[in-house]
Amino acid sequence: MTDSDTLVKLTSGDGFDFIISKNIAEQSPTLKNMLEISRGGISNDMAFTEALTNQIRLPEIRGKTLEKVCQYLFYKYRFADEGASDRVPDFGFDIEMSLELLMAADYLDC
Amino acid sequence: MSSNKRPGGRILPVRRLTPQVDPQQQFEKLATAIGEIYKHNASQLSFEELYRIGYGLVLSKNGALAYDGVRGVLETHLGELVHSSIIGHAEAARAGPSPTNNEALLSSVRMLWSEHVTAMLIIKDVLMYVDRVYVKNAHLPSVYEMGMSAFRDQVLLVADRRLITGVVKAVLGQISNERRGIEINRSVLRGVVDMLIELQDTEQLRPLYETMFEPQMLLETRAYYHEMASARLNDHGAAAYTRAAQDDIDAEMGRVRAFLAPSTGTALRNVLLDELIAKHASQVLSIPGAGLQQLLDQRSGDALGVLFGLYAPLPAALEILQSSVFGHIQEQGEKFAAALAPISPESPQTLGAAAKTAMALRWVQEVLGLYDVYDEFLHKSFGGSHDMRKVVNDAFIQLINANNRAAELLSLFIDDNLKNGLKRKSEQEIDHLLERSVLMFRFLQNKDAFEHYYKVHLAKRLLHGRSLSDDAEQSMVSKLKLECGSQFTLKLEGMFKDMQVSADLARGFKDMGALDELGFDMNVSVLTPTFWPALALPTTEDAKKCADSIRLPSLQLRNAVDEFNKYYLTHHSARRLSWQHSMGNADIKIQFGTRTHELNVSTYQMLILMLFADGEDDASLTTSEIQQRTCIPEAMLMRQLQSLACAKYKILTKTPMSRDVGLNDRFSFNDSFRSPQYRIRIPVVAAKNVVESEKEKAESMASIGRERQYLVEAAVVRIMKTRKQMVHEQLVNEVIHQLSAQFLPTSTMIKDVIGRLIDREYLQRSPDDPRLYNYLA
Repeated sequence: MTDSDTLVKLTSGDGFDFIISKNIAEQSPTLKNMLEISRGGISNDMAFTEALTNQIRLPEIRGKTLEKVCQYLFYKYRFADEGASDRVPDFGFDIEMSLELLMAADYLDC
Repeated sequence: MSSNKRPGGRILPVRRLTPQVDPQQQFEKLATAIGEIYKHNASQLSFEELYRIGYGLVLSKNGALAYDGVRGVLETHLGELVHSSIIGHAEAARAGPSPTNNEALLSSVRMLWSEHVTAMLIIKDVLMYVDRVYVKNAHLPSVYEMGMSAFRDQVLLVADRRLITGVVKAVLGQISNERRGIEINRSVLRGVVDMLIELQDTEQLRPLYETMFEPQMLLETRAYYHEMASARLNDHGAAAYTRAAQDDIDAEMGRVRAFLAPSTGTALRNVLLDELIAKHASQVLSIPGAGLQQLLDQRSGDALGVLFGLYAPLPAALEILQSSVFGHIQEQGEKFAAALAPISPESPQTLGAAAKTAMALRWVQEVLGLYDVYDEFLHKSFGGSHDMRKVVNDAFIQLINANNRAAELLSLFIDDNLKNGLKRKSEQEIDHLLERSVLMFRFLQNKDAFEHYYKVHLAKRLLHGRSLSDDAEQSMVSKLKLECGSQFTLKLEGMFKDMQVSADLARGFKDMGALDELGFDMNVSVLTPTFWPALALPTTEDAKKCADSIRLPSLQLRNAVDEFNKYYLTHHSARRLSWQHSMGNADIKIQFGTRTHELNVSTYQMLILMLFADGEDDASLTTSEIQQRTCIPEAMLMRQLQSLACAKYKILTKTPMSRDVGLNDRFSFNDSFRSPQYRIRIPVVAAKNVVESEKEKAESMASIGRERQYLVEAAVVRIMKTRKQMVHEQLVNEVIHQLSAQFLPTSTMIKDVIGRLIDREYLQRSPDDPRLYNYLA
């Protein structure tokens, strides 16, 4: 099963579930590390609960924010290879969310 | 990200969703988790939770607690493990460094190391937020690096480096065990060495491998091979010694590839080369009875290859190698030359021309054979080294030119092969042979002497139709042309051209029908005198006069000659034909009793035999009568008669029956001559190419000498014409330089020539400076 076939469930601090492809989730280095099965070429006993169940609880992030995060992960996945070209559209969000999104971005390293 | 709504809108404050917990309590959780990770229980833990602890600690300005705290946990943990799983093995290995104890210690260290690396790979990921924010701002080593140094300090360097010293000793012990043929577990060593490469020493910022291991290892290796070398010198020959050394080097390099750092390879090889090779070079190469000389004698190409590979990189050893090779070739050359002694003028032995010729051919063959041997050495054993090739070539140049008859012998050798040898050889062999001959020619300094002999030999081959393959002849000439330029082969090619033109002429003559009435066939070779060697064309006035006055006894023959003269002059009006009967030969049918034989004889012999053809059976003639009737020069006639009456086939009977021919001896036709063969070739005296007698040699040398005078004169005039003015030494050097492709003129010779040119007013000594010459136009 490839990463694009695997789905992972992200649960927000206020109980919302978001189910996305694993390769989308892996756009965040933090999430990627959580889902990692092998490290440094070693694959024995390297996986945490999250990697084994494909479920990640993110108690620090509200559902509304996590939704935007998921949108951003898709956006990043879609346009990561385009570089600074004109074809990349703007990614929009409500300004009131900006601080919360900033925190989430720092936490997720993306 | 960009905002697209209501500029000036408010920003919601961040509300932490999880309750604030005491940092110390948080850290305790992390410490427990690290213990679980070491126990391979990561699957029971939530990555997010641990990550969030690191995140929380950093955000609450407790990054130091996280970082130092983790280090403390790791150190305690490692300290415990060292005591429980390693110290025991270390003590055992120190007490008894047996292969088993060494291996137990190394295995336990490697085990702990790999466990630690595994755990650290996880821990650094979990603490990635700490790395990313706290470590970066505080300029600390990353979590992973911190983990590595914790291992170094708590495990290897603990107790005043006691453990690492033990580990290094155990690794060296295992290497030494392997050298002595004891099997060891290389993968354990690989793991331990990798660890030493990865971990930096505290002060020097270089890997422990470099500070603690490598120097020690090189030292021990040196000591080991130092002893090995002196032990082997006692009972090994050069071949066995170098083979063993090469095996050692291969084995050590294999060790480097299997479990040491690649960078050690060079240093290690140098230690081995130094101890095994450099320190005993001259000793090994000259082991009595089994040194380099013997390897060359035995033609042990493989052993030489090993030896060359090891010794050639060392300048001192290379010099020994080169002088040995040079000496060996010279020595062989002296042996070959010694075998030639019987044909030298001082020799008391008198040998037949054929035996001398065989000896001469053997000399060339042996020299070429030796070159083949060395050529193979060069390719297979000396790795095509240019320096070695130069040494070998120089040696051969000296060897060949030490023999003052080399030019003659070489030409004779080629002659023999183009005449007799080709039948038994394939085209490739011929080509190789000619190639080799040209090579030898290249080494020859007296190239003009070779040209002289080659012309003589080629002339005889062509005129007597003795050459077996036109292709081979042409190929030889084009090889010489390649070597020396077209000037050198101009005359040789002229000779071929003459032969071709003659064949065309003969065809035209025959087509004209001139021969039809004569009742016999005639082939005439028309030669251009300048192309052909003097030996083929008698130039002395006597011979010329006689050649023209030879009496052709039969009308038919005279007619034939006249017809050809007419025919030739109609085609080339301004030329003059001068007939050289001494060079001709004829096929004639003679009836002996009831049997008829076809005899291949020289033209002179035919003339002699024709005197008897018309006479009565018992007619007899004296030598002087024959001379009067045929006008054949006396010396020549004697030889012709000898071969007709005293050699294998006695066509004429001579009274008295002695081997020598006197003027008053009588000859008569031997009607009772019998032979099983129908066709008989009467050997033509001096038609065969044999080693020259002393007299002939002197003649050749005189002819070459005259030729050289002209060449030197021409060179001096050529040089002075362009330079107008030149100092003596300069001029001499320039002449030598220009002529070196043909021969090496001596300075006395050049001086003589200059003197003569001054007499003839081509040159003039400068009135101001007696060393300076002026050119007079």
